[in-house]
Formats: sequence, C-alpha cells, structure tokens
Amino acid sequence: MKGLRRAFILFLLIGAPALHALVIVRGPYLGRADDVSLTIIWRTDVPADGETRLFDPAGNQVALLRDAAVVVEHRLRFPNLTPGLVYRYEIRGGGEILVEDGSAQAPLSPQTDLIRFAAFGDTAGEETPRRIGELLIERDLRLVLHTGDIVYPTGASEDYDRKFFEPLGRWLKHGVMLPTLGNHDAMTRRGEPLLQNFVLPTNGDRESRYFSVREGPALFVCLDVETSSYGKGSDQYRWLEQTLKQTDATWKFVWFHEPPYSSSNSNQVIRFVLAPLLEKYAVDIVFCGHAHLYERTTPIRDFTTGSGGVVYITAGGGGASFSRFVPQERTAVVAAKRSFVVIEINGPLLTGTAVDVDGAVFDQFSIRKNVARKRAVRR
Amino acid sequence: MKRLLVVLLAAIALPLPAQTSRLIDPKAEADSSWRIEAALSIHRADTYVDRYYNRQRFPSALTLEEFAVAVSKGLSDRWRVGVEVPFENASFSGPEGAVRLRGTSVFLQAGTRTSIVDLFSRASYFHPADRDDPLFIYSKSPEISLVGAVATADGILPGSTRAVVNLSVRYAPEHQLTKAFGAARLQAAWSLREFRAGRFLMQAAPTAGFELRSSGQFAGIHFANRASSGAFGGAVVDLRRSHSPAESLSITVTRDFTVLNSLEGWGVSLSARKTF
Repeated sequence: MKGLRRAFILFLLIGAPALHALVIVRGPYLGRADDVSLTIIWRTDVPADGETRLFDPAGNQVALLRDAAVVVEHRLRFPNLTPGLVYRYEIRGGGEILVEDGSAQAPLSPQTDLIRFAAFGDTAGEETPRRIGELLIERDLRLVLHTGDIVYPTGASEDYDRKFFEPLGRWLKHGVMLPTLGNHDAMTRRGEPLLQNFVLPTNGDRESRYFSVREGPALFVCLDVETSSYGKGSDQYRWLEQTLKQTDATWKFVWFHEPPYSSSNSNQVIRFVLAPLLEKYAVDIVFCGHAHLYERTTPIRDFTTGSGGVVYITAGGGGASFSRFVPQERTAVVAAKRSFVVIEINGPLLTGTAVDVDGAVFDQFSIRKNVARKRAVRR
Repeated sequence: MKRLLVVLLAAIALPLPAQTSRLIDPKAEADSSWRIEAALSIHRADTYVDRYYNRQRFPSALTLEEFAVAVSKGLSDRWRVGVEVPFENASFSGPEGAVRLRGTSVFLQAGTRTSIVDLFSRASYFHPADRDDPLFIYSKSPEISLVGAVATADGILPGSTRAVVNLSVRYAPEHQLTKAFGAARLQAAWSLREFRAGRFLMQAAPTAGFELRSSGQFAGIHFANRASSGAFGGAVVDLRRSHSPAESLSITVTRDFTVLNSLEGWGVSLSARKTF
C-alpha cells in the first residue's frame, strides 16, 4: 500500500506534468535582427524546451535549431537563408509538434527590384487589427512598418497579448512587423515592453529604439522621436545622416511616430529638425502615425509643395478613435478611415494604395524614378 | 517718482511671450493724457527640451522678433484704456521671414497706491491675425490675459531699492485643431540702487520667474500638445530723464533654464514710452 502511495506521488510530481499538453500562449511571430536572418519567437504556458525546423518550398528540411533551455519563451535565429525564399516552419516543444503551418520569407537580396510592404499604426480595439491582419494575409504582405502606439493606453506588458498578439496573431505567424515607438508605447518605462517583445536590429541604437533595414531595392529607417534625442548633434541625428548618405538603395523610406506635416496635429520640432535632413538625402516617403486617420501630402520641399520633395503619409488608422482634422494646403488626401497603406515597388515605379478595413481602395498614387533620379508623384 | 519707477520695472520686466513683454504703465497720469509705447523684442532659441528632458537641437536657431506699438488714454488718475498692435518676424534656417501683423489687442488697466504697496492690474484681449505659414504652426485662437503686479512702496525697503512681483495668466479657447491653452507666470524683480548719470536716472534689477503652460506655445507658435514649463532669469535696466519721469527707455535681457516641453534660449527687449 505504501509502495502504491509512493508511486502515485511520484507520478503526480513527474509523470503528470509530462502528460500536460504544451500550449502556445503567444505567437509564433517573427523577428528581424539583421538583413540576412529571421528569428522565430514563441511563448508557451509552461516552461519547455523548443525546436524549430525550416523547410524549403519543395518540402526539404533545410535547418533545425534547438533550444535546450526549459523556458517559456524561445527565440531562434536562422541565418544563412536564401534571400527572398518563403520557408515553412514547424515548432516543437516538449517532444510535440506545436505549429506546422508557419511561414516566413527571408530578407530580400539588395539586387531584387521588387518589394511589397504595408504600413499602419495606432492599433486599438481588437476588431480593426484583426481585420487588417486578414487583409494582409489575403494580399500576401509579409513586411509591415508599424507607425507606433501598438498597445493603448500605456504600452504595458500585460496588455500585449490581448490587444496585439491575439488580434494580429494569424498574420504575425507569417510576416515581420517592424515597430517604431509611439507616445503611448513610451509611457511604460520608456517603451521597454515594446523593445523586449520585438526582435529588431541594433545597428542604430543598441536597444533598437532606432535602426535600419535593407530589403531589396529599399532602405527602411526607423527613428525614435519619443524617447531619444533626435536633434542636431545627437547620436540618432548623426546616425541617420550617415545611414542615408551611405546607402545605395534606390528607394528610401523613413518612419517615426509623430508627423511633421498633418491635417491634425503636426510636430513643429520634427519639422524644424528632421524634415530638412530627409529632403537633403532624398527620402521618398515618410510614414507616421499619431494622428488617427490616413493622410498623404503632396511632395514637400523647403516646407512647401515642391517637385522631388518628400511625401508624408500618416497611416494611423489602426483602430484608435479618429482625430479631428482640417485639410492643409499640402494635403493631397485625408480620410478618417480604419486602414493601412500598401506600397509596391517594381524597379523605378512605386505604387501606393490605401485600403480600408472593408478591403476598399480609397487612395492610389505612384512615384516614378527616371535615370536622372527625378521623381514625379502622380495620383 | 520711485513708485512709478518700480511699477515700470514691474511692467518691463515681463519677457516674451509677446503681449506681456509690452511696456505697461499701471499708474495712470494725474490728467487724462495720451501715451504711446513701443517695444522691440527678440527671442532666439536653438533647442527644444521635450518631456523626457531630451534636448532637441535645431539645425539653426529660431528667431522670433516682435515690434509692438501701444496707444493709450488715461480715463482718470487710476484707469487707462488702450490698443496695442504687434508685428512679428519669425525666421528659421536662413531665409528671412516676412514681417507681418500678429494681431491686435485692447487693454484696460488700473493702478493704486497704499502706504505699503503699489498695485496695478491689466486685462487684455488679443485677437490674432489670420496667419498661415509653410513652416510655422500658428495658433489662431484669441487670447485673454490678466496681469497683476505688487511693488513695495517708498521707504518699505532700505535705500532706494524696490521689490516687485508680477503674476500673469493667459487663456485661449479651443480653436479648430488647437486645444484650449492656459498659462500662468510668476516673476519677481529686485530693483537696485538708483544712479544718476548726468540728466538721466538709471536703475537695474535682477529678475527671475517661472511659467506653466498647458501646451508648448510661444509667440503663438504651437510646438506640442503637452504641458510645458520653464524658468527664466535675467536683468532689467531702466533709463529715464530726471525731469520727465513719465518717459523712459528700458532694456530687459533674460535666459531660459530648467525648461520642459519648451523652447530654450534667450531674449532681449527694448521698450520706450512717451506721454503727450
């Protein structure tokens, strides 16, 4: 009897946990630490080991990474990927297959002429982010610039699962999201939850508050205008200038949270400090959030509409309550719509499309670069 | 005469924003005189300090110049009413801005004396001109302000020194995209011993103060929708003819410090007045 009792207790301590079905409570989702690798991240309900296998389109297993550490969150980085290839990935934990149908596209080669990505921000509520995620999947968009304010009201850690990872989970399993810090994100320990949750490059700031990514023909530069200095002489300003100056990318995109030109609230300091620098290095489009609406400006040079200037797109229609606006002289289009913007590049031609949560297109524009790098923005 | 000087110091020791840096003579003349006052102010800032105390330095300095003319009429020995018209020139990054009318304000002021203190108050209504600029984000809200000053009367403090405290509050209602704006400023000055230089009397006063604002707004330019604050300090020098106390020339120099969501720079204002 004693022996039976002892065996039963041993079973409860050792055997029962082993019989527990491991559950993924966050993710999987993708991270991007550099221009040649991808990181797959997931979190389970109880500590366990983790393993990820990568398969090429033909179904061949091409990589296997194991994390023997018994932890709740795993981050496995896959280097040496074939540029642009879409891999299938499988996640295992505790000896079981947890995910079979994940997919991830390797970063594009700089020699590629084609790229597609989306931008939106100020994600709030659950319905709008979920709907945007579905539309991103329908359009097979795998790269998203988030223009800030990921989680309201204060970017707190405990709100991430319900307000972000769950609504967008279906898409996050297949796409890379690169966020910039918003003013609400910054309210919790200067944005620490955001920086901890995402795997981002450290080629700008070692905490990834600002960084750059090269994808195909495009350079993407993320700036932090909320928690870091960005004024002249600051580390970020010098880094930005160097990054824009040194790149050989055909297209240059910058994104940060608060727009310098907006039909809602414009940021005067950013207009003084960053706008001239972005014009100097011929940035094509700046994506912002903060104003909860969609807006596209005319090309702006020397603070006014000018040929070859920078186009500012406010993509803040991710679900937060709409902002009041008064169209300005430099406004090309402005609309209070739950929406995101899609950018498609094919060589010298860029096409931009603003899509609402019903899938309807409500703005379309193009930018063409010719041999002399002059640009014509057409609607 | 000394009381007049003290309250003049109170008036001229008010640096930018614009309206409160105007010459304010709270002591109405004994007769119903006309007065004309002119003030030129320059504020130069090359940094904005944000809410995390990050200093966002501009690629070039922002210069805000203002020239204001006020004409007023004494209604009695206590009350005075007037109109002030400020012109401004805001420039940044090379190209000179255009001089333009900033708006118009009307004011009513009153002053009185007791054996211990001199008191004055001024109520103003400012209506902005319709300004649009590709670079600057202007507030288009009208604004009301109340300024009160207390100065020690003759003989309260040793020698010919005087202490002055100014309190001003401003309010602008919500307008289009701009939220309602409010600001409160407290400033003190301590006028030093008076000196005679020929036919002129000169007196200097160190001054310091603090301002709280509901948003970062300076000279009508809107910087941020976040609570703003800042301290400032400097000096005021007053020069007048010994036989014409009602006519004077004043110079005020101030520097901003410990600012939050605010411009940081320095300001100079030069003001003069004449009575007819």
